[in-house]
Amino acid sequence: MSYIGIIVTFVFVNNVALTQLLGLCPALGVTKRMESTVGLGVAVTVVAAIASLITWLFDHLVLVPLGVEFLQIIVVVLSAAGTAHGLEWIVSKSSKGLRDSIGLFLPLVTANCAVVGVALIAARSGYGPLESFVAGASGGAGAMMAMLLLSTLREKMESEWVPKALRGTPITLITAGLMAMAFLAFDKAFLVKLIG
Amino acid sequence: MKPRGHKLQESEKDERTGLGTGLWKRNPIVGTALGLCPALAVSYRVDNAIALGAAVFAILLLTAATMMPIGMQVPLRYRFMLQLVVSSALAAVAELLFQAYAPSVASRLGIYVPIIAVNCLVLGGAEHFGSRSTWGGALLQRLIEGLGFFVALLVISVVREVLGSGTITLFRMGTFDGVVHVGALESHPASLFGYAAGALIVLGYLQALAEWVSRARKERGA
Repeated sequence: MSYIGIIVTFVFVNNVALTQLLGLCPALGVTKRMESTVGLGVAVTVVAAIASLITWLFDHLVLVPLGVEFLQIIVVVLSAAGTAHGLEWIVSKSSKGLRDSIGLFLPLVTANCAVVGVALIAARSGYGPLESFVAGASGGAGAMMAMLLLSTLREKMESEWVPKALRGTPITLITAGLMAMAFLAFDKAFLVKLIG
Repeated sequence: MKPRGHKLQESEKDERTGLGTGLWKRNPIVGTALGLCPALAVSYRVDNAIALGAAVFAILLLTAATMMPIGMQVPLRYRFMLQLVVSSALAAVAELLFQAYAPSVASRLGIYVPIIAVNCLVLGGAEHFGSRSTWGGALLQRLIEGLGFFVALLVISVVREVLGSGTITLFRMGTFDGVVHVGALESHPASLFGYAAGALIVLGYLQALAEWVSRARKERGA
């Protein structure tokens, strides 16, 4: 599959948050504020990209030669957690700005469904190393886009009247549901025709 | 996982109402919105939901049961990593079991079985493994959480499948072919409910319903 195809598939057709429904728990909490949404989104994107690459390396250099592919999920989970921890360490040694923006959110993605899900999907799609990396990055970017859209809608909704029982998480879920409905328009067949 | 810290103090006074509160007010899906990711994605069919609910239940309990004895010997900073290894090993076992005994379920659930390894519900409560709470009490609490997750998942999947395809798919048993047909909905389903969008909307209204009911109960002084 071409790189453009991978990007379009992971960002739009199989959007991690709105089609695969992964990584919702932290997304629901964090989309209340725009800055924290960006922070989490960047953390998810970076960690997903690196973790997908590491997963590919382990998959092809260790698991397949030894014939223990069923251990894949352990490798994926540990490489995601390891990447998040490693980046946290690097960020903690660097500038204060970086530490305050992304550093805070790296612990949140240590064991994040979105990161692990993207890495796992990439690993099971038969991609090469660079394709896995691109798939991971675009999966994370798709999650970030969905979260940004959701947090914008939530900010707008703060001035609207919402029935008491629906306030908070319920209305956020319904909003996300309506967004997911819009994402149904990104039909795979349609996009294949578009890109060729 | 964050809200659990202060809930721990609260749990002592809640203990007498244990089962009811656990299943209802602090229900993982409807109340505290934990462990949603795989739950929503597969709940377009009832049999999927039952299979995934059972897997989450088993992994939740076995992770807790494994971590309690060994968790205390491990320094706090490594405990979470150890728990990740345990839960992902169990998730790998679950996937192998599904592939061996229910290959069709395994292929429909796809990545959502291995991903139970990082389910917020399974990973939450690592701090329960300290010396503060007794093992029995903590295990019981996890059991109630798992049960609450299972029940909520079942409700979501019944709503989604009835509205989305007009059927209730269970498991094949004897002469029963495993599919309950729900009248006219089958020929004119609202197929939106089979998609991700439907899952989010159903869960949103379910949470609102739960909130509304508990509000009404509180007002009546119950």
